[in-house]
Amino acid sequence: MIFAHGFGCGQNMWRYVWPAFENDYQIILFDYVGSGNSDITAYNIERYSDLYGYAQDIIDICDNLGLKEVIFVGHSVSSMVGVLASITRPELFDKLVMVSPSPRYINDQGYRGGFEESDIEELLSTMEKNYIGWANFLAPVIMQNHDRPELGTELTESFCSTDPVIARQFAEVTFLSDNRQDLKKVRHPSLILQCSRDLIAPTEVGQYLQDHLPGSIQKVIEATGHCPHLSAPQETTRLIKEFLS
Amino acid sequence: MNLTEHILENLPCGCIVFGSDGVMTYVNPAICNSLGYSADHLVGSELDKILTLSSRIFAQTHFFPMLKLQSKVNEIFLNLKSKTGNSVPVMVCVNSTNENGLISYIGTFAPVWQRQEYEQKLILAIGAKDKANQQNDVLSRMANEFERKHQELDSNLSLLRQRTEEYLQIGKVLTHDMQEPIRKIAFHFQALLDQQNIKRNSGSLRNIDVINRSILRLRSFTNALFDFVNLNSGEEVALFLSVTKLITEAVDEVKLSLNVQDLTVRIEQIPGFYGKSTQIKRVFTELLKNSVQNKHMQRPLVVEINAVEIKSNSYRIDTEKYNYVEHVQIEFCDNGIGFESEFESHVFSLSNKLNQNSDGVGMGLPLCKQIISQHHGSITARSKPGEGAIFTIVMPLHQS
Repeated sequence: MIFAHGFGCGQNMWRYVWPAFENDYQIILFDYVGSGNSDITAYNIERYSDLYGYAQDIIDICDNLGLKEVIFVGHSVSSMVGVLASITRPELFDKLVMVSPSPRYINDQGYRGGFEESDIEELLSTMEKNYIGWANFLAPVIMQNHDRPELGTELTESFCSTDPVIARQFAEVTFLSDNRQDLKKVRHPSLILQCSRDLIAPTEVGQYLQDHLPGSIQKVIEATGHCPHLSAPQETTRLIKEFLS
Repeated sequence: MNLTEHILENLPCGCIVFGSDGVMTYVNPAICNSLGYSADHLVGSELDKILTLSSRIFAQTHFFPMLKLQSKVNEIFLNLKSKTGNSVPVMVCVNSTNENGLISYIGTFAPVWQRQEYEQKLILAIGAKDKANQQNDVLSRMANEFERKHQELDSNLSLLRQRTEEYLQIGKVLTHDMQEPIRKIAFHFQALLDQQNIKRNSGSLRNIDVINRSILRLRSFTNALFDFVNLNSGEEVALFLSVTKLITEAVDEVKLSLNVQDLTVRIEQIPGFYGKSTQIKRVFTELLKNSVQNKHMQRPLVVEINAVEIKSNSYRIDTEKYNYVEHVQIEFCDNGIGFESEFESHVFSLSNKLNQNSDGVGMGLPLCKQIISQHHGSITARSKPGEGAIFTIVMPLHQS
């Protein structure tokens, strides 16, 4: 089972979810190159200027570890990264789980993604302006594991995206992507987890995905927001387990 | 009004207190004035109400997670949204307080109209400078790299030219010069048979049969080698191909030439791409022949061909370079006898025939690989014994 984080975070976003699966599956957690605690020197502007570059990260992990029949769990933009990886190398995957996915964030004729192009431009400029306050993001963070005291306190360096230039490019690739044409190419069963009130992936988007993704089922999570794996880990875990059984 | 209240009410910057659910519990007059709301309109609402859409994303993906983990944020830039929908740029600092287990956040929101304009200019200037520096770096690195690559390319080209010449010569020897002796053997053997009036008993009949079959095999082997070596001698140009049509033609040819009837080929709509028509058709002819030769005795042969459009890196050797361009990925699946997965790359090598019982000479798949490589594509195989084979062809949409 591979858990792939979304834009603006790292693998530790999954910490309330993956332990529920560790008895039944081999768990793979990772940070995309340029996110979390990854090796920044491995970042390649050309490679990561396309979501296919991120999909290659997934494929490289599968090939290096010899993984097969992978259950891919992706949050946000990672759902589409999983779609691209599964189309390119169908033999590696078994099922796809998409948490708060969206195939396109910007509104288009007859399609409501939730954003106008100007909103995205403003987001990119906000990220750029927080260059100055960026030191905050780099500060090491002590995280308490109240529910799992055996883990003690974990020292998480750089919870958020570590490098402003990389984070900006990730935002650009994420929010300007359009993967609507790729949905019909998916051959694996998939689960769409849609939050009740998600600003980034509104309910229309969840419905669009269900209508255009062959072999998909949609479950609406009662939790609001874009990160149910943080805000409602139990509900998220339960729905994934139901789908897998 | 006591002193604390007095200070709060007259604070020269906005002050908002909100809970961990993002609901505002206090707003001071300065923030109300900046946004054009009255305090009643804001208290009890979520912070989202006064954020622009993009600031809401930033708040959800960066601001709140950081606040949750670090209990404070400093000097964060956000755009607030006023009642009339205008943007108000602010500098935000937030501290968390814990009173009887109840966590609330106290934030200052200082408008930065002037400073933000200055900052904007600064960012542009820094951006331009960084870009120029970067371009400079990139250019000088590229100049060195270019020189090195040019040298490398030149050496490789001269080597390649020499190899190609040798290769063509060997090819010529193997094919043309071998065809002649084979022809002679066949001719004189027949003459011998006619002259000597050899006793047609079962022993010599078997010998005659073995010699005849060996001659046939040598012929098809030299013909296949000839095709392999002379692949690019023609002047064919790459055109936009109707691949579905080419495959249909290839199926008819194979059915006719190998005289097979129980071959079912299911073709989904295959997207077109640029390529040399006769060569691409040859790929499918050879793949189909391979399937026929490796048919499973217990079931009728079924071949399924489907395709998707994907993007793939056009650089194949240089691992530092990426250029994701449109490709067509075709899957060719048969239900034949298959092979052990350890032979997945082996099957494309010259004359590495796995199935010793088949009539083939082991040149079909190498030919496919050669044609596809020359089209800057790739072909891979995967299989399990008894379960058929899957060939995956990835072809660029355009031939540059």
